[in-house]
Amino acid sequence: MAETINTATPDYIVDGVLTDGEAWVPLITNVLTGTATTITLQSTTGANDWSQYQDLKMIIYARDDDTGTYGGYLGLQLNNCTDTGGYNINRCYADGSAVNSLNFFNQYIPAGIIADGNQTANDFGASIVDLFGINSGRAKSVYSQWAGDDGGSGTVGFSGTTLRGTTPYYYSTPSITEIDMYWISGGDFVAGTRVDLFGILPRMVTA
Amino acid sequence: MAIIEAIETVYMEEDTASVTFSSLGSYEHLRVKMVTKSRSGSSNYYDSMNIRFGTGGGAVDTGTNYSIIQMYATGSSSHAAGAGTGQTAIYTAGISDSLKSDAIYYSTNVLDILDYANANKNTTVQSRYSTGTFGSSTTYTMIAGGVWDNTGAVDKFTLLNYSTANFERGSEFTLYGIKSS
Repeated sequence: MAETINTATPDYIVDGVLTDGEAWVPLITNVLTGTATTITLQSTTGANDWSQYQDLKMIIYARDDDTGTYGGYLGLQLNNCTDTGGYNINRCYADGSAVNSLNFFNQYIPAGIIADGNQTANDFGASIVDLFGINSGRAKSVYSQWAGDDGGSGTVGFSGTTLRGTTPYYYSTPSITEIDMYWISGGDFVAGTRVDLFGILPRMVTA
Repeated sequence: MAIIEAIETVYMEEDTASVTFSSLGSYEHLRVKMVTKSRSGSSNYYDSMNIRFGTGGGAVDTGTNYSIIQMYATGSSSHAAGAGTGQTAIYTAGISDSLKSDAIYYSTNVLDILDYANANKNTTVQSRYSTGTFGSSTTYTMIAGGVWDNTGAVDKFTLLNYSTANFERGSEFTLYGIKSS
Protein backbone atom coordinates (compact mmCIF):
# COMPACT_ATOMS: atom_id res chain seq x y z
CA MET A 1 0.00 0.00 0.00
CA ALA A 2 1.27 3.46 -0.89
CA GLU A 3 0.01 5.71 1.86
CA THR A 4 0.56 9.45 2.06
CA ILE A 5 -0.32 11.24 5.29
CA ASN A 6 -0.23 15.02 5.55
CA THR A 7 1.35 15.79 8.92
CA ALA A 8 2.61 19.24 7.95
CA THR A 9 1.66 22.31 9.95
CA PRO A 10 -1.88 23.25 8.86
CA ASP A 11 -1.85 25.92 6.15
CA TYR A 12 -4.39 28.03 7.97
CA ILE A 13 -1.76 28.88 10.59
CA VAL A 14 0.66 31.42 9.11
CA ASP A 15 3.36 32.70 11.47
CA GLY A 16 1.09 31.82 14.36
CA VAL A 17 -1.86 33.73 12.89
CA LEU A 18 -5.18 32.16 11.86
CA THR A 19 -6.04 32.68 8.18
CA ASP A 20 -8.58 31.40 5.66
CA GLY A 21 -7.13 29.37 2.85
CA GLU A 22 -8.20 26.20 1.05
CA ALA A 23 -11.28 24.81 2.78
CA TRP A 24 -10.54 21.23 1.70
CA VAL A 25 -7.32 19.93 3.22
CA PRO A 26 -5.89 16.68 1.81
CA LEU A 27 -5.21 14.41 4.78
CA ILE A 28 -4.57 10.84 3.62
CA THR A 29 -4.24 9.13 0.27
CA ASN A 30 -4.10 5.36 0.04
CA VAL A 31 -3.39 3.61 -3.25
CA LEU A 32 -3.17 -0.15 -2.95
CA THR A 33 -0.26 -1.89 -4.63
CA GLY A 34 -1.58 -5.30 -3.59
CA THR A 35 -4.73 -6.73 -2.06
CA ALA A 36 -5.92 -5.72 1.40
CA THR A 37 -8.75 -6.97 3.58
CA THR A 38 -9.24 -3.64 5.33
CA ILE A 39 -8.12 -0.06 4.88
CA THR A 40 -7.74 1.96 8.06
CA LEU A 41 -7.58 5.76 8.19
CA GLN A 42 -6.58 7.36 11.49
CA SER A 43 -6.14 10.81 12.94
CA THR A 44 -2.50 11.53 13.74
CA THR A 45 -0.68 14.86 13.96
CA GLY A 46 -0.27 18.13 12.08
CA ALA A 47 -2.76 18.61 9.27
CA ASN A 48 -3.92 15.02 9.80
CA ASP A 49 -5.10 15.79 13.33
CA TRP A 50 -8.84 15.46 12.69
CA SER A 51 -9.82 17.39 15.81
CA GLN A 52 -9.41 20.67 13.89
CA TYR A 53 -11.98 19.93 11.17
CA GLN A 54 -15.69 20.49 10.94
CA ASP A 55 -16.35 17.62 8.53
CA LEU A 56 -14.52 14.89 6.63
CA LYS A 57 -14.97 13.86 3.02
CA MET A 58 -13.86 10.59 1.42
CA ILE A 59 -13.46 9.98 -2.30
CA ILE A 60 -13.22 6.26 -2.92
CA TYR A 61 -12.46 4.39 -6.12
CA ALA A 62 -12.47 0.70 -5.24
CA ARG A 63 -12.99 -2.87 -6.37
CA ASP A 64 -13.63 -6.08 -4.45
CA ASP A 65 -12.09 -9.39 -5.61
CA ASP A 66 -15.07 -11.38 -4.30
CA THR A 67 -17.01 -13.26 -6.99
CA GLY A 68 -20.09 -14.12 -4.95
CA THR A 69 -23.59 -13.01 -5.84
CA TYR A 70 -23.51 -9.98 -3.58
CA GLY A 71 -19.92 -8.85 -4.06
CA GLY A 72 -18.78 -5.29 -3.96
CA TYR A 73 -20.75 -4.13 -0.93
CA LEU A 74 -18.52 -1.56 0.74
CA GLY A 75 -18.82 -0.77 4.45
CA LEU A 76 -17.26 1.72 6.85
CA GLN A 77 -16.92 1.58 10.61
CA LEU A 78 -16.15 4.58 12.83
CA ASN A 79 -14.08 4.58 16.02
CA ASN A 80 -13.95 0.77 15.96
CA CYS A 81 -17.68 0.53 16.57
CA THR A 82 -18.49 -3.00 15.45
CA ASP A 83 -21.73 -3.31 17.41
CA THR A 84 -24.41 -5.30 15.69
CA GLY A 85 -27.08 -2.69 15.20
CA GLY A 86 -24.63 0.10 15.98
CA TYR A 87 -25.54 2.06 12.86
CA ASN A 88 -28.98 3.30 11.86
CA ILE A 89 -29.23 3.22 8.05
CA ASN A 90 -31.60 4.44 5.37
CA ARG A 91 -30.52 3.36 1.90
CA CYS A 92 -31.91 3.84 -1.60
CA TYR A 93 -30.44 2.52 -4.84
CA ALA A 94 -31.23 1.48 -8.38
CA ASP A 95 -29.73 -1.68 -9.86
CA GLY A 96 -30.49 -1.19 -13.52
CA SER A 97 -33.99 -2.60 -13.37
CA ALA A 98 -35.62 -1.35 -10.18
CA VAL A 99 -35.30 1.09 -7.31
CA ASN A 100 -34.87 -0.38 -3.86
CA SER A 101 -35.00 1.20 -0.44
CA LEU A 102 -34.34 -0.21 2.98
CA ASN A 103 -34.16 0.99 6.56
CA PHE A 104 -32.16 -1.17 8.91
CA PHE A 105 -29.72 -1.38 11.81
CA ASN A 106 -26.38 -3.00 11.18
CA GLN A 107 -22.70 -2.87 12.09
CA TYR A 108 -21.50 -0.64 9.25
CA ILE A 109 -22.11 2.45 7.18
CA PRO A 110 -23.08 1.41 3.64
CA ALA A 111 -20.73 3.21 1.26
CA GLY A 112 -22.01 1.58 -1.92
CA ILE A 113 -22.58 -1.59 -3.86
CA ILE A 114 -20.01 -0.86 -6.47
CA ALA A 115 -17.52 -3.24 -8.11
CA ASP A 116 -16.66 -6.87 -7.48
CA GLY A 117 -14.72 -9.69 -9.07
CA ASN A 118 -17.53 -10.46 -11.51
CA GLN A 119 -17.30 -7.15 -13.28
CA THR A 120 -15.36 -6.31 -16.38
CA ALA A 121 -11.63 -6.25 -15.77
CA ASN A 122 -10.33 -2.88 -14.61
CA ASP A 123 -13.80 -1.64 -13.61
CA PHE A 124 -13.77 0.21 -10.31
CA GLY A 125 -16.70 1.75 -8.44
CA ALA A 126 -16.96 5.30 -7.13
CA SER A 127 -18.21 6.35 -3.72
CA ILE A 128 -18.26 9.80 -2.11
CA VAL A 129 -18.85 9.94 1.62
CA ASP A 130 -19.51 13.04 3.75
CA LEU A 131 -19.04 12.74 7.50
CA PHE A 132 -20.69 15.67 9.25
CA GLY A 133 -19.77 17.37 12.52
CA ILE A 134 -17.04 14.88 13.42
CA ASN A 135 -16.08 16.84 16.54
CA SER A 136 -19.55 18.01 17.55
CA GLY A 137 -21.61 16.82 20.49
CA ARG A 138 -24.36 15.78 18.08
CA ALA A 139 -24.88 12.24 16.88
CA LYS A 140 -22.43 11.54 14.07
CA SER A 141 -24.16 11.35 10.70
CA VAL A 142 -22.89 10.28 7.31
CA TYR A 143 -24.26 10.74 3.80
CA SER A 144 -22.86 8.55 1.03
CA GLN A 145 -23.52 8.32 -2.69
CA TRP A 146 -22.10 5.85 -5.15
CA ALA A 147 -22.06 4.48 -8.66
CA GLY A 148 -20.71 1.22 -10.04
CA ASP A 149 -21.33 0.13 -13.59
CA ASP A 150 -21.45 -3.51 -14.60
CA GLY A 151 -22.09 -3.63 -18.29
CA GLY A 152 -25.25 -1.58 -17.95
CA SER A 153 -26.37 -2.93 -14.61
CA GLY A 154 -24.44 -2.30 -11.39
CA THR A 155 -25.94 0.11 -8.89
CA VAL A 156 -26.25 3.81 -8.24
CA GLY A 157 -27.57 5.02 -4.92
CA PHE A 158 -27.36 7.05 -1.78
CA SER A 159 -27.75 6.48 1.93
CA GLY A 160 -27.87 8.26 5.26
CA THR A 161 -26.46 6.69 8.39
CA THR A 162 -26.30 7.73 12.02
CA LEU A 163 -23.80 6.19 14.40
CA ARG A 164 -25.62 5.17 17.56
CA GLY A 165 -24.02 2.17 19.24
CA THR A 166 -26.13 -0.42 20.96
CA THR A 167 -25.65 1.26 24.30
CA PRO A 168 -27.70 4.37 23.55
CA TYR A 169 -25.47 7.22 22.38
CA TYR A 170 -22.33 5.48 23.58
CA TYR A 171 -20.58 5.92 20.26
CA SER A 172 -22.53 8.87 19.01
CA THR A 173 -20.94 11.88 20.60
CA PRO A 174 -17.16 11.22 20.82
CA SER A 175 -15.06 12.77 18.05
CA ILE A 176 -14.30 10.60 15.04
CA THR A 177 -10.65 9.53 15.05
CA GLU A 178 -10.68 6.35 12.97
CA ILE A 179 -12.40 5.00 9.86
CA ASP A 180 -12.13 1.36 8.80
CA MET A 181 -13.15 0.23 5.33
CA TYR A 182 -13.99 -3.35 4.43
CA TRP A 183 -16.18 -5.40 2.10
CA ILE A 184 -19.37 -6.45 3.85
CA SER A 185 -19.77 -9.00 1.09
CA GLY A 186 -16.36 -10.51 1.78
CA GLY A 187 -13.20 -10.48 -0.29
CA ASP A 188 -10.31 -8.05 -0.48
CA PHE A 189 -9.67 -4.66 -1.99
CA VAL A 190 -7.72 -5.16 -5.21
CA ALA A 191 -4.55 -3.35 -6.25
CA GLY A 192 -5.33 0.05 -7.67
CA THR A 193 -8.05 0.78 -5.14
CA ARG A 194 -7.71 4.41 -4.09
CA VAL A 195 -9.01 6.38 -1.12
CA ASP A 196 -8.57 10.12 -0.61
CA LEU A 197 -9.57 11.67 2.71
CA PHE A 198 -10.09 15.43 3.08
CA GLY A 199 -10.66 17.56 6.16
CA ILE A 200 -13.27 20.29 5.66
CA LEU A 201 -12.69 23.56 7.46
CA PRO A 202 -15.31 26.13 8.41
CA ARG A 203 -14.76 29.86 7.97
CA MET A 204 -11.80 30.50 10.26
CA VAL A 205 -11.68 34.29 10.42
CA THR A 206 -14.54 36.78 10.59
CA ALA A 207 -15.26 37.98 7.06
CA MET B 1 -5.08 30.28 -4.94
CA ALA B 2 -7.65 28.34 -3.04
CA ILE B 3 -10.21 26.52 -5.16
CA ILE B 4 -12.79 26.01 -2.42
CA GLU B 5 -13.04 28.74 0.19
CA ALA B 6 -15.21 28.96 3.29
CA ILE B 7 -17.10 32.23 2.89
CA GLU B 8 -19.06 32.21 6.13
CA THR B 9 -19.96 29.86 8.97
CA VAL B 10 -23.06 30.37 11.09
CA TYR B 11 -23.18 28.37 14.30
CA MET B 12 -26.43 28.96 16.15
CA GLU B 13 -25.89 29.60 19.82
CA GLU B 14 -29.59 30.28 20.25
CA ASP B 15 -32.76 29.28 18.42
CA THR B 16 -33.05 31.33 15.21
CA ALA B 17 -35.76 31.68 12.57
CA SER B 18 -33.61 31.83 9.44
CA VAL B 19 -30.17 32.32 7.99
CA THR B 20 -29.44 34.83 5.23
CA PHE B 21 -26.19 34.85 3.29
CA SER B 22 -25.69 38.18 1.52
CA SER B 23 -21.93 38.36 0.98
CA LEU B 24 -21.54 35.76 -1.72
CA GLY B 25 -18.23 36.87 -3.21
CA SER B 26 -17.09 36.13 -6.74
CA TYR B 27 -17.12 32.42 -7.36
CA GLU B 28 -18.40 30.07 -10.05
CA HIS B 29 -20.61 27.98 -7.77
CA LEU B 30 -21.69 27.93 -4.14
CA ARG B 31 -22.04 25.03 -1.72
CA VAL B 32 -23.81 25.09 1.65
CA LYS B 33 -23.21 22.35 4.21
CA MET B 34 -25.77 22.27 6.98
CA VAL B 35 -26.45 20.27 10.12
CA THR B 36 -29.86 21.35 11.38
CA LYS B 37 -32.73 20.73 13.71
CA SER B 38 -36.13 22.46 13.69
CA ARG B 39 -38.11 23.56 16.74
CA SER B 40 -41.21 22.25 14.98
CA GLY B 41 -43.47 20.30 17.32
CA SER B 42 -44.89 18.31 14.44
CA SER B 43 -45.86 14.67 14.81
CA ASN B 44 -43.40 14.02 11.97
CA TYR B 45 -39.69 13.50 12.52
CA TYR B 46 -38.78 16.10 9.88
CA ASP B 47 -39.30 19.65 8.74
CA SER B 48 -38.46 20.53 5.13
CA MET B 49 -36.10 23.40 4.49
CA ASN B 50 -36.85 26.32 2.19
CA ILE B 51 -34.47 28.45 0.18
CA ARG B 52 -35.43 31.78 -1.38
CA PHE B 53 -33.23 33.94 -3.59
CA GLY B 54 -32.78 37.66 -4.09
CA THR B 55 -31.20 39.73 -6.84
CA GLY B 56 -30.38 43.36 -7.56
CA GLY B 57 -30.10 44.26 -3.90
CA GLY B 58 -33.79 43.64 -3.29
CA ALA B 59 -35.54 41.39 -0.82
CA VAL B 60 -35.66 37.64 -1.37
CA ASP B 61 -38.41 36.56 -3.75
CA THR B 62 -41.47 35.17 -1.96
CA GLY B 63 -43.55 34.83 -5.13
CA THR B 64 -44.62 31.58 -6.75
CA ASN B 65 -41.48 31.40 -8.85
CA TYR B 66 -39.89 28.18 -7.68
CA SER B 67 -40.05 24.56 -8.81
CA ILE B 68 -38.80 21.38 -7.15
CA ILE B 69 -38.05 17.77 -8.00
CA GLN B 70 -37.08 15.01 -5.60
CA MET B 71 -36.32 11.30 -5.13
CA TYR B 72 -36.33 9.82 -1.67
CA ALA B 73 -36.47 6.82 0.59
CA THR B 74 -38.26 6.80 3.93
CA GLY B 75 -37.40 4.92 7.07
CA SER B 76 -40.32 2.62 6.43
CA SER B 77 -38.47 1.29 3.40
CA SER B 78 -40.62 2.93 0.77
CA HIS B 79 -39.30 5.15 -1.98
CA ALA B 80 -40.86 7.69 -4.27
CA ALA B 81 -40.33 10.73 -6.41
CA GLY B 82 -42.14 14.01 -6.67
CA ALA B 83 -42.17 17.39 -8.33
CA GLY B 84 -43.93 20.72 -8.01
CA THR B 85 -44.17 24.08 -9.73
CA GLY B 86 -45.46 27.46 -8.66
CA GLN B 87 -43.93 27.18 -5.20
CA THR B 88 -43.05 30.12 -2.96
CA ALA B 89 -39.66 28.55 -2.19
CA ILE B 90 -37.53 25.58 -3.11
CA TYR B 91 -38.63 23.40 -0.21
CA THR B 92 -36.20 20.66 -1.16
CA ALA B 93 -33.15 22.73 -0.23
CA GLY B 94 -32.66 20.47 2.75
CA ILE B 95 -34.32 18.90 5.75
CA SER B 96 -34.25 19.35 9.52
CA ASP B 97 -34.99 16.83 12.22
CA SER B 98 -37.97 18.03 14.27
CA LEU B 99 -38.31 18.00 18.05
CA LYS B 100 -39.83 14.53 17.73
CA SER B 101 -36.27 13.26 17.17
CA ASP B 102 -34.00 12.66 20.14
CA ALA B 103 -31.98 15.70 21.18
CA ILE B 104 -28.64 14.63 19.68
CA TYR B 105 -30.05 13.84 16.23
CA TYR B 106 -29.60 16.59 13.65
CA SER B 107 -30.04 16.31 9.89
CA THR B 108 -27.20 16.46 7.34
CA ASN B 109 -27.43 18.51 4.17
CA VAL B 110 -25.30 19.45 1.17
CA LEU B 111 -26.76 22.09 -1.16
CA ASP B 112 -25.09 23.22 -4.41
CA ILE B 113 -26.11 26.47 -6.10
CA LEU B 114 -24.77 26.50 -9.63
CA ASP B 115 -23.56 29.48 -11.67
CA TYR B 116 -25.34 31.78 -9.22
CA ALA B 117 -23.76 35.01 -10.47
CA ASN B 118 -24.83 34.52 -14.09
CA ALA B 119 -27.41 37.13 -15.13
CA ASN B 120 -28.78 35.14 -18.08
CA LYS B 121 -29.79 31.84 -16.52
CA ASN B 122 -32.43 30.77 -14.06
CA THR B 123 -30.80 29.47 -10.89
CA THR B 124 -30.74 25.71 -10.36
CA VAL B 125 -29.83 23.94 -7.14
CA GLN B 126 -29.06 20.33 -6.27
CA SER B 127 -29.23 18.93 -2.76
CA ARG B 128 -28.49 15.70 -0.89
CA TYR B 129 -29.72 15.25 2.62
CA SER B 130 -30.91 12.97 5.33
CA THR B 131 -32.63 13.15 8.68
CA GLY B 132 -30.49 12.05 11.59
CA THR B 133 -33.28 9.78 12.78
CA PHE B 134 -34.41 6.74 10.82
CA GLY B 135 -36.98 4.02 11.14
CA SER B 136 -40.21 5.90 10.47
CA SER B 137 -42.35 6.78 7.49
CA THR B 138 -41.43 10.41 8.25
CA THR B 139 -37.64 10.01 8.27
CA TYR B 140 -35.89 10.54 4.95
CA THR B 141 -32.80 10.15 2.81
CA MET B 142 -33.12 12.19 -0.33
CA ILE B 143 -31.61 13.68 -3.47
CA ALA B 144 -33.42 16.69 -4.89
CA GLY B 145 -33.29 19.71 -7.12
CA GLY B 146 -35.02 23.00 -7.69
CA VAL B 147 -35.18 26.05 -9.91
CA TRP B 148 -35.76 29.75 -9.28
CA ASP B 149 -37.42 31.14 -12.40
CA ASN B 150 -35.47 34.36 -12.47
CA THR B 151 -32.40 35.13 -14.56
CA GLY B 152 -31.07 37.72 -12.14
CA ALA B 153 -27.65 37.19 -10.59
CA VAL B 154 -28.18 35.88 -7.08
CA ASP B 155 -26.81 38.27 -4.46
CA LYS B 156 -28.48 36.83 -1.38
CA PHE B 157 -30.45 33.83 -0.21
CA THR B 158 -32.34 32.84 2.89
CA LEU B 159 -32.77 29.41 4.45
CA LEU B 160 -35.67 28.69 6.79
CA ASN B 161 -37.72 25.76 7.92
CA TYR B 162 -40.85 25.01 5.90
CA SER B 163 -42.97 25.20 9.07
CA THR B 164 -41.31 28.57 9.88
CA ALA B 165 -40.30 27.12 13.25
CA ASN B 166 -36.90 28.25 14.53
CA PHE B 167 -33.73 26.32 13.91
CA GLU B 168 -32.60 24.71 17.16
CA ARG B 169 -29.41 26.01 18.72
CA GLY B 170 -26.49 23.85 17.68
CA SER B 171 -27.56 24.03 14.04
CA GLU B 172 -24.65 24.88 11.79
CA PHE B 173 -24.34 26.36 8.30
CA THR B 174 -21.19 26.89 6.25
CA LEU B 175 -21.19 28.58 2.85
CA TYR B 176 -18.37 27.67 0.46
CA GLY B 177 -17.35 29.32 -2.80
CA ILE B 178 -15.97 27.18 -5.62
CA LYS B 179 -13.72 28.90 -8.15
CA SER B 180 -13.21 28.05 -11.80
CA SER B 181 -9.92 27.98 -13.66
